[in-house]
Amino acid sequence: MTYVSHLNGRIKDAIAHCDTPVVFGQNVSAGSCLSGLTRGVDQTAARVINTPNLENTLVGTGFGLMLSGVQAAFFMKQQDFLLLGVDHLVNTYNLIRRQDTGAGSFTIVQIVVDSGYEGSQSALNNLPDLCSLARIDGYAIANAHDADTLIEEELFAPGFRIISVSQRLFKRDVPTWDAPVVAAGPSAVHRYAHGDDLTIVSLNFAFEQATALHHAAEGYGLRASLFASNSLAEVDWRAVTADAASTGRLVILDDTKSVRSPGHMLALEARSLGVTDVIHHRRALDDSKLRPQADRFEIDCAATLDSLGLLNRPRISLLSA
Amino acid sequence: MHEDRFAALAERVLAVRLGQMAINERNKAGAFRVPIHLAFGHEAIAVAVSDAMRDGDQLLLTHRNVHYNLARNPSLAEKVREFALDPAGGAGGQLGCMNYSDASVGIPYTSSILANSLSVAPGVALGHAILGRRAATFVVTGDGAIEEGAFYESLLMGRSVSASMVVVVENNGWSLATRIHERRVPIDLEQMAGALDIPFQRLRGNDPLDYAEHLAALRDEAVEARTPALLEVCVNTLGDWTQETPDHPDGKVINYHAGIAPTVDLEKGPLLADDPGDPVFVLMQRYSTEDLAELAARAMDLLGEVPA
Repeated sequence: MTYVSHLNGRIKDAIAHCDTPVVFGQNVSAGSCLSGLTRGVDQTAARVINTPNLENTLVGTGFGLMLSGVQAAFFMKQQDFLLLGVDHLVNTYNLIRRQDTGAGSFTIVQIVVDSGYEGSQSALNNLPDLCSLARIDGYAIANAHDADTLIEEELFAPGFRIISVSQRLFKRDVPTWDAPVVAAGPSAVHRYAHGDDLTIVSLNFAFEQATALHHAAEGYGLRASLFASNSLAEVDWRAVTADAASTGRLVILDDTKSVRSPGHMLALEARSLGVTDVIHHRRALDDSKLRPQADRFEIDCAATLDSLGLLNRPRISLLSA
Repeated sequence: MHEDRFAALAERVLAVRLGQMAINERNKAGAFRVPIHLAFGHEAIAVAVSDAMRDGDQLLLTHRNVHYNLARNPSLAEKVREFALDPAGGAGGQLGCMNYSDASVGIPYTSSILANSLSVAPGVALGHAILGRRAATFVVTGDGAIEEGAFYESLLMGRSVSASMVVVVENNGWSLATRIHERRVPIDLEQMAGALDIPFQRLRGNDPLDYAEHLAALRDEAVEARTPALLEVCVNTLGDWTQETPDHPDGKVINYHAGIAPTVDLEKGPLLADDPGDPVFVLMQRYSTEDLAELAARAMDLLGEVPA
């Protein structure tokens, strides 16, 4: 199943379990229905509204719906458009968050246009910055587990949050993980694998790169712990830093374009615990990124492992076995 | 009946005026650390909006909101305590003046950001409709905020989703210290309403009964037709004073925007201007001095005990 089909199914499931769902945004039930993300929502119990192009007012309207006690989800074609609604993210939310709005809910589901070749104006991938403005809860859906948990638990939950989905992943098979995934702490950090040699952490949509590094490590006979945080706001990293203190090596894979993201705090916390081998892979910003280009987040797995001194170790039994 | 209704509204107008004057006196005495925005001259529209609101209707406000808050709930003590950030204030001392709201009297949201409430209003109105309530959402703004894109956006959104809203534009001709002609071309709101095919009214003259009746009709039309309605009301923000400066040795007129209105003095009574731009002047054309004094006494009763 494709990533977008999986998301679409989970969204319709969440609508089915909601009292007064409202789904709104540009083209939510018209045209491609946001490339299939919201296809068929007009066949559900939700009040579905195809809106004019009024991003500032659409964000304000979402807060108004929340204030009136209904459950509203605003599906936004492109994260860049949210910049027009930033006033409400800060000033409206800061007033409404202090009120008891009962079951009132507002979620912005935004598509991060990370598919490449969009140019310098249409490729915002900075949810940590948006969350930081008013300490907003923000999440990214990088795989099936994220979709299953976040959409069910958050889409129409009381309060406000932003959820990002990746356009790059839309038509690809939804990333899955065969082993059990367990929560690692209170703030949307999950453990996917245990290992003794290094700790790998995925942020935002870097799960693909993180699993690639994990598999590469296995190929060298190494055992890596693998965590993914689908929270892009303030994160409780204690489970990760404890693991990194044990392995002595931490690799953070962060494909946001934010200068400051939760990954920076993780790196600082890990170093404060004596983890000296910390690699924080993140986006570079140079002129090549300010014109149409592939916009890929690429990791050299072998070089990463080598820089941690891991490829000089003798191969262990896992590989020979 | 007509006279009784007018008198009831007049009493409210006086309560809003006298309440603001009492707040101004306390502000002069240094009682408040939060910025205070008074609305002398805006009393008639505030009373009329409050009068037009029906059960379940809601009102969204701006930084200049004290007149609506007094009209909805004349308890002066709650305002004074709130502005002093006293936990016994009307909002628990949590909001101050520019964000003062009170959901218990139908004011769930007040924003100090220009035009911000306008965008929230269609959502509140749509939420009512979804929950099956036949209610109107009033939202107040000014002639400065209509320059923001959110003004047009919110009308278009409201019209597109059939939101029962009444958008009240208080046109006092000023945005901070600039007059309209100093910052922009004129905007014909009637034509703007026509472009979106929404009802429009323009009010002037500060007759509270005339205002209330027009507002009630507009409110009912917005609810019946499930549409936004636009109302422009001409107001004179009173409380100007003159200040001598090197460039203006004879005194430069300072329009009142916020803070203390130094020339307004509660001891001198409620009248601030001898023209229909002052709602109290309009009342004086109708009532004898004795009758007005009686109304003012009743208005003071409405305001209630004021903390020392």
